[in-house]
Amino acid sequence: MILLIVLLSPVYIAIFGEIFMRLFAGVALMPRYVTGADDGIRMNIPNAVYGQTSREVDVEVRINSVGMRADREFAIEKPEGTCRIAVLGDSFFMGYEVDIEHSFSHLLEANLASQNVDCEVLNFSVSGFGTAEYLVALESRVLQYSPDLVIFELHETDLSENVISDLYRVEDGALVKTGNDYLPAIGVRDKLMQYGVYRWLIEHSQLYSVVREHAGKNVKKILLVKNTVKAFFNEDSEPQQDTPQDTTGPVELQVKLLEKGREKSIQNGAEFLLVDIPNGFDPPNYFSVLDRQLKDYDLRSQFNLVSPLSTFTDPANADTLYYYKTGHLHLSIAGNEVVAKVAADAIVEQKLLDRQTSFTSAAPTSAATLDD
Amino acid sequence: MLFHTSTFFLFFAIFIALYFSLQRYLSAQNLLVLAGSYVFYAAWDERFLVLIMVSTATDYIAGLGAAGRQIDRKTAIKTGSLLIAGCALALGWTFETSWQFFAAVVAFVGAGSLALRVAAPMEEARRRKFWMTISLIVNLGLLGIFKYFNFFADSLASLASAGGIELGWTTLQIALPVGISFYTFQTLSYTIDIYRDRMKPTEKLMELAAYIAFFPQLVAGPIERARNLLPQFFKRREITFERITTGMALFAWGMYKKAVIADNLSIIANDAFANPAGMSSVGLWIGLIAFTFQIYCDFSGYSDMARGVARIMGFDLMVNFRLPYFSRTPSEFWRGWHISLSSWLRDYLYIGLGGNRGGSLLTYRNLLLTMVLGGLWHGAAWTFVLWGFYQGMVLVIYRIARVDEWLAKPLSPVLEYSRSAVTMAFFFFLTMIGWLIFRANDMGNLSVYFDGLFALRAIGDTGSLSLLLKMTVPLVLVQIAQAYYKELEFQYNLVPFLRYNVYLFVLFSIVALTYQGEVEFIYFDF
Repeated sequence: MILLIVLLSPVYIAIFGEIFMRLFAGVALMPRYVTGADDGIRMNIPNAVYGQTSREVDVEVRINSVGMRADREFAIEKPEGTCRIAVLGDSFFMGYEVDIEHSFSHLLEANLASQNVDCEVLNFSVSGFGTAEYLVALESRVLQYSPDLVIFELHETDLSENVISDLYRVEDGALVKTGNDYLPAIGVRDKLMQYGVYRWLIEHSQLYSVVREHAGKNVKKILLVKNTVKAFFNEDSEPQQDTPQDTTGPVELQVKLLEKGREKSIQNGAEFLLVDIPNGFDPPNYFSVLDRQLKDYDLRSQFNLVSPLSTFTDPANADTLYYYKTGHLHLSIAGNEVVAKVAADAIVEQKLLDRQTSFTSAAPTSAATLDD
Repeated sequence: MLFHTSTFFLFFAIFIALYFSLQRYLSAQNLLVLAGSYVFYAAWDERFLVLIMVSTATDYIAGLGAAGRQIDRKTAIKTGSLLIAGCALALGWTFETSWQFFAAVVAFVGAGSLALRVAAPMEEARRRKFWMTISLIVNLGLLGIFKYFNFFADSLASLASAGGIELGWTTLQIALPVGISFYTFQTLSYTIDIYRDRMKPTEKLMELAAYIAFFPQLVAGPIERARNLLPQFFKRREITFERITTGMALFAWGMYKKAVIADNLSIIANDAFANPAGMSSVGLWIGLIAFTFQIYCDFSGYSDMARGVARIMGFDLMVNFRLPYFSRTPSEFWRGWHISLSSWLRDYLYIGLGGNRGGSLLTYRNLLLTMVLGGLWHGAAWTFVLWGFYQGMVLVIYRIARVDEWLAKPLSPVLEYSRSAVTMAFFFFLTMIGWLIFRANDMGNLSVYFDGLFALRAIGDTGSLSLLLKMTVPLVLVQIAQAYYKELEFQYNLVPFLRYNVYLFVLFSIVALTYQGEVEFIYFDF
């Protein structure tokens, strides 16, 4: 009898938990279809199609054959006369919780088209990425597509993600590649993904979703502590002359990664743009990492940089929902529209596509046309 | 370091492993409790450890003195040296910026040696009183400087300014040390009890220090009397499977109340108090009900977690809340709300003022004074003074109306239930009005909110009603069960299957419904 109870208890707890989540919690289902890539970081599983649901959204995510969130394929060899923009970000730029038509990259393409700039926008974003992974992906995945402009997302979480991934470190004031891979739980996930039951669970079980989120957060916390301690013992005790006095490891690493991203882009004939995604956890009290952790670096004067913060915090827009509240707090359709608009305007006004005149068509081209 | 964070879990996992391994060595275990408590407190601000050490050293000497003993040279040197060494250890990391603290402690030790010289030739009765007074001056002085100085300075400056006099006050740029109101009251009770011959002083400085800094209840109570907690440091604590599991259950229940109920309700309450002029009356009532449950769950949740942690360690802390919202009168309420503070105020302030021994008028005065000072204990703001005055007035009016005596007269069961229901509902309404005063951002905010409650503005702002119900209904059901079984830990009366389902409900609520933002315990500010 005791043996029977012991054996059946996990099943009962799982059923109880699932019913509880559905009745009382309404947990969002945001499965991540990622796998490991040869460059030592994660990539979206090619050709994956999956759903994301919360109390506010029900969307489908479609991945193309090389891991971009896109409904079409892009030739590596850039056709003559084609303009290309490469977007690198995390789940915000990947368009979590919105359909592809309302994702940043798609709306950016449409906004540029409406200003007579025909440009393909290639979305290389992967959920969970930080700036260090953007840099790795830039070199190994993006530059071969010969982009004319590279866009990096900038978000508060990048600072900790860069430390956690341990792909780069700052040593003696210089950015150094560690040579490490960062493929968190990918081995286990790849094995589990072979089973239909697991794929069904990640898309349908709210209990699994909660457990995975908690496990993921705690593993990241542990990695953050571990890598911070490691960096503390490795760091040079002499402060760098050219950095502010209150420089902390993650901040300095973040700035160096952005500088490297810009350098690599320009070396390969592409302009570089940073797009700030404000923290939207507690609307309407939005804030940007630029005004907090990175405030001593004045990135606005050093980089081509745009931010939707002024629109988000405009009292006239107080009733607009820029972030979803019940899922994983990603940008809503309205939020993506604002970000895409400010980015497109900056690209045109700052002439970031230096050859943009040759990409300008006689008549505006709609997004639908681009999709064809 | 909040109880419901992963940092605390990590700290406690390491601590408890060491603690259990030292089970056979009582002194070493006590030393670990002291060290762990100081680490726990230093996680907020190591500089303020100095205040706890000063308070401890003072009451160690004052306790011996209040018992009539002469303080010998060895004891004095040992205490002074340990205080200076402890402060040097606490401030060592930040000595460049906090050397003033260290200098103040050295000066304090000097003043202490002077006090010893002054007290030595005194006759016993005078000496006892002298040392109790020293304890009062030091502990209330710490409170006065760190908690109330800016409040009184600002109030005086405002009053003078209204009279056309500009005072050039410079307020102190100091943060409020977490938990200062709790541990100063705890140390005070130790010396006062000795002075009143209710307990004997301890000669063991480490055990006294561990009692004062005991981390489960250091920053937000319960305010444990030395008579209850201190003796537990002198006997081997019982650590059993039952204590560990029941302690964990108590901790989980407290965490559910704090992280799930209180923190989620804080969203509703904060919205309502942020802009009362822009909300409908219904929205304001929802906000006020939300705060009424928020403050209860926040504080009683912390107390439950504290008791749970202590129980795992083999200690027994007092029950601090006993179904206060089921009270029919203010005297019942104060026997169930923050019991450790209300009994402290009764024993050391109300009775000290004369209690009810001087006739009706003096009793009313003593009640009012006690409650006003109790209100001020909660925070340095006029809203807290007003809240204390309001509570005192409610107590006085119920006393004049002899409601408790009327309720004690038996009625038939049906009439008894009806009477209880009506008096309970009415007193709950009065309690909510009290919380309105307590929570208001300032007097202007209070006035606008109060007007809005009764202005019968258009019905609206009801969107948060479902969250309010989702958070409060399970709590109310549990409290009904607690009242029915007349036991706070009623679950052990349930059949195992039902009990484990209750546990699962609480655990899954913590996992899935915990508010994701950072909300400190309300009582950390006190």
